[in-house]
Amino acid sequence: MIEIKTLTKKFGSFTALNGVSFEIPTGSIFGLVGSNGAGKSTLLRTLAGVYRPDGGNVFFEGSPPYEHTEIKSRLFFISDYPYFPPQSTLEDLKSLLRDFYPGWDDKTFDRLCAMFPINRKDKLKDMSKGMQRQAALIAALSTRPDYFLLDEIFDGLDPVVRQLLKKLIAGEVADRGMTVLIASHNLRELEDFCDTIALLHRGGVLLEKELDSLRLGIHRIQAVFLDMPELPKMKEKIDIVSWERSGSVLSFVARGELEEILGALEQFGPQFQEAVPLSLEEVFISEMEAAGYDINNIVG
Amino acid sequence: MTSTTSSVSPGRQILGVFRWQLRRSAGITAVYAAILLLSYPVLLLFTLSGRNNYYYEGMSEAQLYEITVNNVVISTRAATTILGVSAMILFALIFTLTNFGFLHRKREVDLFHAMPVSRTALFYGRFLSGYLCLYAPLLLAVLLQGIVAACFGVLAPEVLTLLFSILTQLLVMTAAVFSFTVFVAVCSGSTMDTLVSIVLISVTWPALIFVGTAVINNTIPGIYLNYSPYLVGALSPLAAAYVQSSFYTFQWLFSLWWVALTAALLLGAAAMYRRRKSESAESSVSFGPSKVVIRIFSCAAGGLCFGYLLFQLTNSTLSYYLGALLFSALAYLVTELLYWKSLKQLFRHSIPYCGVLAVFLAFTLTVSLGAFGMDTYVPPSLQIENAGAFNNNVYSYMAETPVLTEQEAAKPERDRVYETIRAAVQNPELIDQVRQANEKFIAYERTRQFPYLIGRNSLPEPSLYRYTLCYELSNSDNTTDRSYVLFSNAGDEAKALYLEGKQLTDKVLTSDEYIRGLFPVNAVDAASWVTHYANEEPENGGEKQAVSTNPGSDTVEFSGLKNESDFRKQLEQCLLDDFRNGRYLAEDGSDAGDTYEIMYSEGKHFTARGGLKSEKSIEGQSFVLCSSLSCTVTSSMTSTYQLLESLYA
Repeated sequence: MIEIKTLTKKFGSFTALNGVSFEIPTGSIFGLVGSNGAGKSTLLRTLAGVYRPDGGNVFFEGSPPYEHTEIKSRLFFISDYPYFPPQSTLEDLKSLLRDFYPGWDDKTFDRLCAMFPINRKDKLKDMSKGMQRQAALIAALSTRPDYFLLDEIFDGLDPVVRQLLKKLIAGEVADRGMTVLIASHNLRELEDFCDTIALLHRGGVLLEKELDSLRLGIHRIQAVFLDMPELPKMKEKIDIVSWERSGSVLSFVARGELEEILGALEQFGPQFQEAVPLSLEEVFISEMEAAGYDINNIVG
Repeated sequence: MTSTTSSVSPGRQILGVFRWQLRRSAGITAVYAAILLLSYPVLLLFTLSGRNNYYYEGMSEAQLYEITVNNVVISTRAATTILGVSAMILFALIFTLTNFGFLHRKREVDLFHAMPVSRTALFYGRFLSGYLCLYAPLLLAVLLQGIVAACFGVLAPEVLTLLFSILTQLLVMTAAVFSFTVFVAVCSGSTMDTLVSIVLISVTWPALIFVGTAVINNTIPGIYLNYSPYLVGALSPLAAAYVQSSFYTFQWLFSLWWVALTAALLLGAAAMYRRRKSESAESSVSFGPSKVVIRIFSCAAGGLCFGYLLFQLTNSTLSYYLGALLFSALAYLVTELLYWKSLKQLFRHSIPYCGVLAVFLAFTLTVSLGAFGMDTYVPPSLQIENAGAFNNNVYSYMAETPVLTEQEAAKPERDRVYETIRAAVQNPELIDQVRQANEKFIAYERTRQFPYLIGRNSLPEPSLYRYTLCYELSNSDNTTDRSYVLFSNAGDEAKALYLEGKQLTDKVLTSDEYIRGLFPVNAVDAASWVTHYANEEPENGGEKQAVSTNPGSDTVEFSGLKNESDFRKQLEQCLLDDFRNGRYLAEDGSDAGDTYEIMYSEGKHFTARGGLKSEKSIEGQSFVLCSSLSCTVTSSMTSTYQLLESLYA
């Protein structure tokens, strides 16, 4: 279990994190979304023990990670731009990490090297951005971390590797109960992957919910009308969050039980109506707009 | 599910970091080793291989051995001063950047500070690796130096002592320089700031000492402070490394000071590193106070140095004060740009600059008011063992005679320590006259200009228009010197005081005790005093007294005088008579007419009479003249001149 309690982090006069609090259950995949500068990377660095909190704290099983080597030996952090020592190869990286991570597993390393299209003798600095991320992932997973912190990990990965990575992580979570915290500014990357999502904005958490519960109470409906009903009248019956009209087709997002929404819609005589899947982005937009935020200013 | 694996122990963490860093530094270490090997054993090998070039017919084995040992010593010393220290400083800097440069790069900080390694382990692992990379090539080079010397059969005790001394010096200063550069790196936010800070600290401290001393010497009349190499190297390890290498013997106290400072720097750097915020990477400086301290030193040194430079160029007092203000402000602006990258907070940061100005004002006032009585200090009579004086006559240089004790003369030339015998008086009445003269000169200076302003108040080089008074005190190893110059712009009252001081000094200078101490002729054994020269050919060519001449030269040499002992007594009496009556070269340096020169040959033994020496009185001790001394006899010295004339009559 990771607990984040009223965490505050300042850089001079700028407050990057302002009283952030939430919990991440063991064995879950937690998504952290937010625009650039929202505080995602700062939160991850604080969790990784790189930054010391200025207020509040973070706890891994009750212990703060800063200067706590035992906790840190069980977590691995891949930053948005992973660093590799000059002239080093994946083998060099292995020799560095093996000395410090008691959980290092040579077999896992060999297995992952075979799985990813990467040559362990090649110089890492000569590799593409995507290849470098793969190398970082191989090294990280070989330490068999209990906590895996990933910052914009999908950047530069091709779709195949992206899926492979998701599969690997999901496997580790299922097999070993690994807890994953993954930060991204792209909601679409996380929607089929995370259990819980938190939205960070200007150093604070705007929203933190399980994906299933997020999706349960909100729906997108498409309906065709010969005679388009008046929207205010519809809103009296249905909790419409947003809507869009194109000719005789009305598309809207509404809150409530699907059956109740469709039942209420029947009263306006649609020629055709159906519920269509809602993307995570749309769910978020709906949630944020309901909370009174202009989503365009939040998720870049 | 959670793992039960525990972390690596602190010792293993340090070892892991150490091994990793050592592997990364292998290439640079090899380059450093190559440079040191070229500087020491390879250079020595070439030097000793060519030693037969020195061999000439008739040279003994002992002489050849002496030359070879000399070569080893010279080669080792030169390699240390020219290459050893410079390479050490360069590579200490390189290893600092390779081992601790990660602190200045966010991506690297992310990797290493997220790893399960404590900051203490990360610091000491990298620090020890840097130490080893700097020490191992040095030890290897000095060891091979010894082996090369041994192969040529010249591993003499003095060579061994020298090698040990140089090795110890370099080891101490390597640790000091590396600790210092690491300390600065830990306190800096970026590599550029590290380099700038290292240069600023290394340059500003010695500059402050040099220029501060020069300003004091040029402001307070009478005194002349020498630059202390120990002070120059006291807080700047880079300067200290060069200072240390310039000493021929191992400086225990200086080394101990740096051992203590190194320990403080190391522990300070470790403590700072633990407190250092990771987010300091790529910012200007990780600890605010450090940049303020560097800034204060930079403003002070910038102002003093350029103010003094302007003063040297223009000889104008005003230019010094304006230059100091202008350039300290400029240094303040430059450091603002260097550390804060903009001038937006210029006024917010002005408190340290105001502090610098306040210190400059306090320094200027202190010096102008005589630095707490430094200008008016006259040693108490009871503390004075003997006192001396120099005036502007041509014999001033005779008052200081470089000599060797018999013990030193027996040593090889490279190891000799020279002493200086000064003409001086011990008679309490004469000492009191020196003190009275000193007080008159002080009164002259205070009347002429007080508070003092920077100007040419003290002249380090001998000047024709200068009176110097010196004291050897019972409670000090060093002599206390005071010099006073009669300036043309002095008022009548001041001039009168100066002339009173001059008259009192002249009485001392013409006393028997002083004059007897002035010329070795009074001490040289009759058997040793054999030669004199006349720099103008006498009318009769000196045939009556000369046994040999030097044809083809204007100078005629006489030796083997008849009745030499009698002549010596006569000459001594004549010299005393002339000096007692003030008959020496006119004050303006002019002396028309013929002159004679009495020459005292180098290497002759004599017994010193009275005089000063840096450590203790040398009355009655036997010495060896280490250079030829001459005494010019002018026509104004009527007694002596007539005696010499009689030689050619």
